[in-house]
Amino acid sequence: MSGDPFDPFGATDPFESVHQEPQWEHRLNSTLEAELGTLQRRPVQLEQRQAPPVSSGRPPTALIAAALILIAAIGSTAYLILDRPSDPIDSIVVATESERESDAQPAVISDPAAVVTPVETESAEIVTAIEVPTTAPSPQASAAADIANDPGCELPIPEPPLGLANVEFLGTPRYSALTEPRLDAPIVEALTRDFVASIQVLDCAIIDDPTSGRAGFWYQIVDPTDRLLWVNANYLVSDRPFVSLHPSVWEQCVLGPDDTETTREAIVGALEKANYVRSLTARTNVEPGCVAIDVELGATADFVPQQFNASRLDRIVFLPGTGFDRLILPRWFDHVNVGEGALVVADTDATASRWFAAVTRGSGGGGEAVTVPAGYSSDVRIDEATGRITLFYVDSLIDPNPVEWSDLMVRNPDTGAIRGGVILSSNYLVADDPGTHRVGGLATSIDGRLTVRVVDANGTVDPSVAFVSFDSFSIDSDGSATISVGESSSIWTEFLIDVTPSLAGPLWVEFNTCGGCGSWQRQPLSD
Amino acid sequence: MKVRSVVSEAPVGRSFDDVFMHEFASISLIAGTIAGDRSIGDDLAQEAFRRAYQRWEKVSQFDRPGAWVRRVAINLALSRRRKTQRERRAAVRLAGERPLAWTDTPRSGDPEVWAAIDQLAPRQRAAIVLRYVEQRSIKEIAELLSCSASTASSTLHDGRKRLAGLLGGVQ
Repeated sequence: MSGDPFDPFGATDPFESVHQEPQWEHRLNSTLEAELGTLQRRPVQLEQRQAPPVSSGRPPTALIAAALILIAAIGSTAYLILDRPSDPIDSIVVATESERESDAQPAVISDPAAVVTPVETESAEIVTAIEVPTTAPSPQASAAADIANDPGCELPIPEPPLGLANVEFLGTPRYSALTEPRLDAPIVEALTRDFVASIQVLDCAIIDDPTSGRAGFWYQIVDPTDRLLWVNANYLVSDRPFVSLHPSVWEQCVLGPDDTETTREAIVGALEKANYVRSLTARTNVEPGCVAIDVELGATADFVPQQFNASRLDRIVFLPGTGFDRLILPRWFDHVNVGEGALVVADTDATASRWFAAVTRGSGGGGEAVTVPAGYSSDVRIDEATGRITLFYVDSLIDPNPVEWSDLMVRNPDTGAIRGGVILSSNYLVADDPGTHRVGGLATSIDGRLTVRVVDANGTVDPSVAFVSFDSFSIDSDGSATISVGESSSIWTEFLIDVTPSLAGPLWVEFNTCGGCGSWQRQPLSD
Repeated sequence: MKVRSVVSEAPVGRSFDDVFMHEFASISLIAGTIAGDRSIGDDLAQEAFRRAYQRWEKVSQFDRPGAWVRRVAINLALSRRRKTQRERRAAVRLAGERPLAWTDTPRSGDPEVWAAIDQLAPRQRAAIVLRYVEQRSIKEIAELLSCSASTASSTLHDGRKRLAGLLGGVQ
């Protein structure tokens, strides 16, 4: 017995045990039962409306009317589902997700041109809701309107570029003007795929110099379950015709205390699900052009490889001697240099055309030292006693010209084994989640395909391996599976491998991004 | 610990309508508890079911399609919480000293219990509801929260401990 009243059996599932229900638990049970009972007693209406076909151009009035009817029918959130997958649909407008805080009436679609492109699915066409004005704006909307009415904030809003469906702008309409038609190609590509649900622009957070007309915003990409796939920063340049930022806007965009908090929150949000980090503190103006991020690692018990999540792209791998194993950080932890220590940092830009890594030499890892490109005067300070890591990095706006790296792998120099189940290469990053064999990869494909297979120590392919999770993989007869990633593009994909014991000994998953040509790169599968 | 409420998932092969009617209330409760508002729970449950409907051909083949919807709803609720926090800060910043009214839908049961639940971290709330309302095992909670079993266990443990303290139980 552990002696802990909440965990009487220590490592066992405490809820398998039986003990007397304390009073507080009785109250909890009763309250939850009451609320569930209330919810269950409500009439639940499930209604689907078949919309008239839409040929092209703007949505007809009838379609909008149907959407409004649906809004009125089911409340504050409405979605229009068109059961006409065979009809070409250029654009439709659907519904609203009105703010709960407001006393919003059914939404009025004031701008039918504000359409989004529907996402194609096999069975139906569904458009993610876009927010439209409500007749009773929420306090936030009112505040946002105040800003929007500021002549200095009247920004020309560009036409939504093709492929940018599901771009959801959070915060205020001010940010909707920051539509970036040059969102990274793989992002646009990903939007057409089933496993990316939306891009959410988090906030305007970084600027370089107001006079240069560059602004930045954070955005994140989530999958259909709303799991975070990618957090990134992108930048706007003033010579773009759609951007005409007024100094007053810049004031709003200056990284200030609130925005710093937003930055911190974005980072924490990217990490909290994995419990990697106890706290992150962003500080600006530590030195010109730099942002310092204090990273305080969580308890070592929470900081174990099994929590590795392949859905996040950026990784810091801690070699032995640090007391930690690995940490995943958003990609803007770019260009981090290390001294003699035990930290490995890897990063890629959105197109996966470059990788950065720094492997320490000396204590612990004994890895190869890699020099971070000149100009990225970054630093990292590790307090191994407390687990506090302070990263200093230079914002990439300082030097937008990346130095290309290729074929850089993180290896144990003694054994040759790849550390931590992570492969870094010029083409893809893969990671194996021990126990589940969930493998993910960021692939830049030559012929538009990523092929995956499982082999044993002799290179024998296991034809019985099962690939699940993404049925966009086509299973080949030889036991490999291929996914189309599009020409000249990179895309993050993730899949599960169910390895059957038909092959003896250690197994590897191999990747090939040129349809079988050239060499296969491999990663050992964990037990 | 005594867990009395039982909410089962609709079996495999059920239609979307069946799953919706069978599980909407429970999923709404989970999402609403995380969000701290019943009406938001409804919205998030609707959104989760919308996504399920969009992919029903695939989701219906899962062993537990309801679990997929729950996971979506939980993720949505966690994401929404972050979003709401940002929006509130932005609203305060943009509105200056203008007071903001945030009205939550009243919930059934003991208000003190809800106040205590609302003080929990979002993931702790999720774990509590999954355990007490749905009798989920640690393994299932871990799956639904996308974390390891040890993390789910500690999350639930911490949540229960906090609740006990807030509600006059063992500190």
